[in-house]
Amino acid sequence: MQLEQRIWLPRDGWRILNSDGPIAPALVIFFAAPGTTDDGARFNELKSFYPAASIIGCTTGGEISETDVHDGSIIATAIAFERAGLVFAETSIGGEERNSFDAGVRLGRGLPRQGLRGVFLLSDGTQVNGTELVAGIQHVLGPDITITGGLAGDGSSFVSTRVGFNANPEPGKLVAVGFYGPEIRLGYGSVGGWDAVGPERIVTRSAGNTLFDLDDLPALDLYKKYLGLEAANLPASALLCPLRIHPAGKPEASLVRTVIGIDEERKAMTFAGTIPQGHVAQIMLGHFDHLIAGAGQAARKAAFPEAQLAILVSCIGRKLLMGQQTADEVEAVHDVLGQACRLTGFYSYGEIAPMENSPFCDLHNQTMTITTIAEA
Amino acid sequence: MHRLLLRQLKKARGGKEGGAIDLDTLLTLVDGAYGEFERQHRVLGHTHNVMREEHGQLNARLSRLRDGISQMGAGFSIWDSDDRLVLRNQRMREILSHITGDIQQGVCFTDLVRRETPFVLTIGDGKDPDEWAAARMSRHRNPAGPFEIAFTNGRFVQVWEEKTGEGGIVSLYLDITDRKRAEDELRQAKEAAESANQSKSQFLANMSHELRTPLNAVLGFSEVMMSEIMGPLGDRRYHEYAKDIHDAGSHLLDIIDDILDMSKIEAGHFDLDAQWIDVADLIGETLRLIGARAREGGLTVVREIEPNLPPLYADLRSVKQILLNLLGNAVKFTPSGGKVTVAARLLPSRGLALSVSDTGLGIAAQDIPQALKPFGQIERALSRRHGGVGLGLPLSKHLAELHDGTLEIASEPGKGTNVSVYFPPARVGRAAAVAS
Repeated sequence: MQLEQRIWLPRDGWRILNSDGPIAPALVIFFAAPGTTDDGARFNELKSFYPAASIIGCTTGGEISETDVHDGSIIATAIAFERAGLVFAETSIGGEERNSFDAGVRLGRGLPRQGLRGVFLLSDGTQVNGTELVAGIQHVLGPDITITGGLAGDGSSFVSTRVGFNANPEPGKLVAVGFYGPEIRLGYGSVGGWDAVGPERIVTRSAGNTLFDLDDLPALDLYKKYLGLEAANLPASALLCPLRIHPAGKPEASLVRTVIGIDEERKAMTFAGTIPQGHVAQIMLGHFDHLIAGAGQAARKAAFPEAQLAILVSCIGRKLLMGQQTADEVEAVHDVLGQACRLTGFYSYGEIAPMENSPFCDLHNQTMTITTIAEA
Repeated sequence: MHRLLLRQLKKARGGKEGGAIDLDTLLTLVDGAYGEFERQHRVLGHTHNVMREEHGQLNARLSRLRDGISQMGAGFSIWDSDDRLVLRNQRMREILSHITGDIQQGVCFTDLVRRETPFVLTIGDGKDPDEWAAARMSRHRNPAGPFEIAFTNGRFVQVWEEKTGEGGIVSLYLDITDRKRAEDELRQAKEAAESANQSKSQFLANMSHELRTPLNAVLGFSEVMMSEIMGPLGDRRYHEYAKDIHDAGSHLLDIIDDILDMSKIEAGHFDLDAQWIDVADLIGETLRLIGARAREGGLTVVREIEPNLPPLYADLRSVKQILLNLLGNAVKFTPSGGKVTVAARLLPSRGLALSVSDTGLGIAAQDIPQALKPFGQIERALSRRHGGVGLGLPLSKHLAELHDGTLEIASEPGKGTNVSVYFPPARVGRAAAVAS
């Protein structure tokens, strides 16, 4: 497996970051700041660099290269495989087609099961229910195929995200790449590093991804109590306190959900993912040191000695919270995986990875999710 | 240099090593970083305060729960997913103190069962202790409703176990010894009463039989004497005495028959021999038997029989006995100049109704239940004045019930009594069948 990474910055244009020499890549993965790809010029330039490659990419809430976190850049990683095979599946969502599970089923059907080793997925980030999407893919492929990836971002605006497959990225697109053959090796790790604070409470009233009551009291009031002065900046400041949920008696199946909106009138909160009634919920708090340690832990889970490339999908919430210290979590990953492993990635509206201690994949929030790739 | 400052310098150099530092960029970055640190510090400090407050609330909730559990009347314990005791209340310790002695937190459930087993009463009956312990464990792991354990110290415990969310068990031990003893006493008393009643019925049946045999001689020979088959009795008074002997004997025989029937019914040995009966015919026949006594008593007897009455599927002897009893009572308790009415009619919902009403003494409402009990004739004085042992009404009621029917009494003291017997529609034939 050979790699070449490029960065595009508005002031400098494209620049090669590192290269294993002249390579003939089969796959190019790029992560682009919102707005940078709108005119189609950057995609055409990439196409001209790697005319024979299949190109997938998406917009972000921040781009990761080596140990840097950028805003306003494009990071492209070209990968030449020696023997591994690739199959791509793409679909759209939006307009009439709103069903995320069905979109997942369509993607899954596009990937032959024979020889499939793993799936990397990029999805629209504002029109898709990630939990349903992953369930749809696993419905077709079964639980023993690892699915990782993330939902595209739109900076901190949460308005419109774009994904592209051999075309300039567009809203409402989803693309999955299936890795095939015995030579391919994949690893993953997904860790949050958030601290659960305060008592566990029961979700006593919710509907879909809207939460009303915890322990029969309005969840919004509880959040305001925890946020204190920061409550004035809701919903943005709710990023400080994501919610951990798990089915009663099953803390090992915990998921973290990010607040994406509030409704003062109904005292309701909207989350990036389903909040099932009856689940146990606990407010979480991000301590920078612990979040950074969490990223390192994710890297240790994903690490294997031969890993050549790591795709980091980290949550936009972590970046908005940590500000200039965000790069520390990328450095923590770099420290674990070492010089030999190249890093790329982006800040996402939702990370996709298997559940801890379970073959089933799900949508995660507020994690650092890492996919490591190597060819034996 | 701190890695953050290094990054800020790199950014201020436009991302190029050794480039010129843009001071404005650097200051903006440094200022921003201080702001971020302050915010984090503020948020953590505030959260600390909120958590302290919530900690207090949690403590209050916890002590309320702990208080509630300790005040429970049942033994309460929680076992974790490794089956170790996490919590038990005072009552649990008291219940177990009589059996296994107190158990300590952290003790394994298997250990409790091991200590409990030698004190289990059923094991004394030859049940294998290992088998009992295994069954107890399996019940504990897959709870399916409450069960009871009897201990050798005479205590009974009802055990309720349920799975907890974390995969452990919550267990309730209820000392039900007092309830078990009361149940036991009640059962013994019931058995004794049933046995006594059985003996009584048996005794009555035997006695009735023994009484009937000599009575046959009394009746037979008094009849022989009355008919003077073997020659005249001589003095007319002998003839009257013979008639008195015969009348008294017949009355005695009736009473003995009633007692025998009552004891048969109570013992559940009364068999019905059902057939289609023409009710009008039967009433006519009965009135002929009772007519003389009514006339002697100066009573008017009225028949109100619905025309074209359908036949009744019933035991002829029983229905006749009911009619005789009711008419006999009416005649007996109605003063001279009164009226006795016997009626039969068809009611769409209740079937065939036979009723006997009189203008006699009547029964007070509160005395009616007593009148329906065997040997329950209302006033002893009445019984002495009118004779009889008070079996007529209860026997009629039982006979009606044997036909799935009912007997109802409506009465007003001083005005009269109406007794109606209802035979259900299932026992009533079609009127046309009789007509043909």
